[in-house]
Amino acid sequence: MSSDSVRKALEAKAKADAAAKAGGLGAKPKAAGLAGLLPAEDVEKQRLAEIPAIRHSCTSCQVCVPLCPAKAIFKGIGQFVIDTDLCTACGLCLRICPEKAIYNAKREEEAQKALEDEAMKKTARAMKAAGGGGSKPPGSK
Amino acid sequence: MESFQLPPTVWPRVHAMYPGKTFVKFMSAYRNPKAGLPALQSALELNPGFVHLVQGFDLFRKMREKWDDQPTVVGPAQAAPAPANPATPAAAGTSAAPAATGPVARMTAAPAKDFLSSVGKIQARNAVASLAMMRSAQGPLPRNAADDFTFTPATKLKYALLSEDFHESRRLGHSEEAFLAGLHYDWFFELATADKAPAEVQLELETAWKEGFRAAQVARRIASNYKNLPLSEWIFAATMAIYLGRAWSAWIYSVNHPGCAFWKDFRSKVDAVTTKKREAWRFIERRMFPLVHTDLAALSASSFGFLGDIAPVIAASQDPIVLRKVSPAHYQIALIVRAGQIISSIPTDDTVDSRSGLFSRLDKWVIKELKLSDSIIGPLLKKLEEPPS
Repeated sequence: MSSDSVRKALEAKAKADAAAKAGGLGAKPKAAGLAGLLPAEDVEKQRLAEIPAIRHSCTSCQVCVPLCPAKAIFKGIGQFVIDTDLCTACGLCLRICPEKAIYNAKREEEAQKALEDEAMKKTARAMKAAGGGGSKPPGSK
Repeated sequence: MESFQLPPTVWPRVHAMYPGKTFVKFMSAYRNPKAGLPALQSALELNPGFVHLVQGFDLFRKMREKWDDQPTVVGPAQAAPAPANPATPAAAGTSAAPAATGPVARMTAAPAKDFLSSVGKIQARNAVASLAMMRSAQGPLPRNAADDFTFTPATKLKYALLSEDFHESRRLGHSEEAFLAGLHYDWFFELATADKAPAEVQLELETAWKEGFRAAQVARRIASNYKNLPLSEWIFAATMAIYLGRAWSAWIYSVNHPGCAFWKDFRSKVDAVTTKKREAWRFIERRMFPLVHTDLAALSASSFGFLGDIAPVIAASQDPIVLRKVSPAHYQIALIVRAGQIISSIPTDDTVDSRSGLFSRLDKWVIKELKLSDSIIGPLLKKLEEPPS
């Protein structure tokens, strides 16, 4: 084993230890949930983020109510609501809603971000094409 | 030896005692003396379902109807509703005011806050407890657009409110734990009613309530003689839960399961015994059933969540000595609970003669271990009050 590789390994260990002390990535979670991978609060946050919500555009057609396997959809005040305690986030209601009134905020946000990224890439490509391939970096032959 | 098979109905029924995440969070915020209404609001808003369903609370509906009779004044919340936060679906479901007319037209952008500030902490707790209970028992919650949902917690929480009132009116302390002990009974009653349990279950429940309340009073009085007793606030609830186990047994063993006897046959056998009844009960029950009433009570308490800390006391209440080395804190409580059961079984026309043949060797040992002399037992029995009904 070369001295370089030993030095690199020691540096990596020192970094991991420092991260553990600071409560960073390498830190051991305090309350373990989901097989000890994440703290229990984070697991709960993730669970809640997976649960869909119902928009006010819901027409109360009641297609989702009998189909929900967890019986988690109730009639609330003026609209239907999803009980987050019962919901298993199977996504069935999301797919069958004829009005697309049931949505997942996290998924929508991700989709929106992906669209924006794609649009930015397209713009960059278009600009590059308009500029004749762009300038070469200094020092390149 | 006869092979026992666990009744398949045990686990779904015991699991139905789980009160749900929303109610657990709400109660932990409620029981925290430092937390105020905002903590309750955030606990409630985690579940948009509850935020909407609590609007059906009869008292709150009446309040809203009164507001609707008054001339409209647009408040700041209505004029400029708070923007919805799309990052969390729970918040997205509750933050905006539902578009509705009639008695709900005045709902603002924060219906949970409106509800809590209108009805107050105690009524809100009762409403959330009733909803959690109804949902657990697959009760009449609104599932159709035409459903007009209203509920009255006072009718749903009979035992919980009786138990809490009893403690509060006599300034006995730990009334919240007494509420939870009563709620355990209400929850069971709701589940048994929803499942159309036979009439004998209700009879057993009423008997359990009366006998349990008597024993729990004695246990609480014995515990008051000890200083710095850990988990002492749960003594009343633990004793009550043990007696609820009898109602559980009556329900589980009301139908025929392979290798199991019927509960009513067991009761008739025990009733025929005249001396050392508690010892006979313990011996016959272990022979006739795979899970005895204390096992079922401990399962129920641990599934119910709030009584989880004292589940070992309940499970070992027939043999408290098993906890002596394993958990000394639970051991002391288990001894007191057992003593409560023993002393409460002494007839009201108590004489030293009437006690002969009543106590088993274990009973005598428990009384000796706790150093309970006749001069302590006598006054304990005289002060006993009848359970509220």
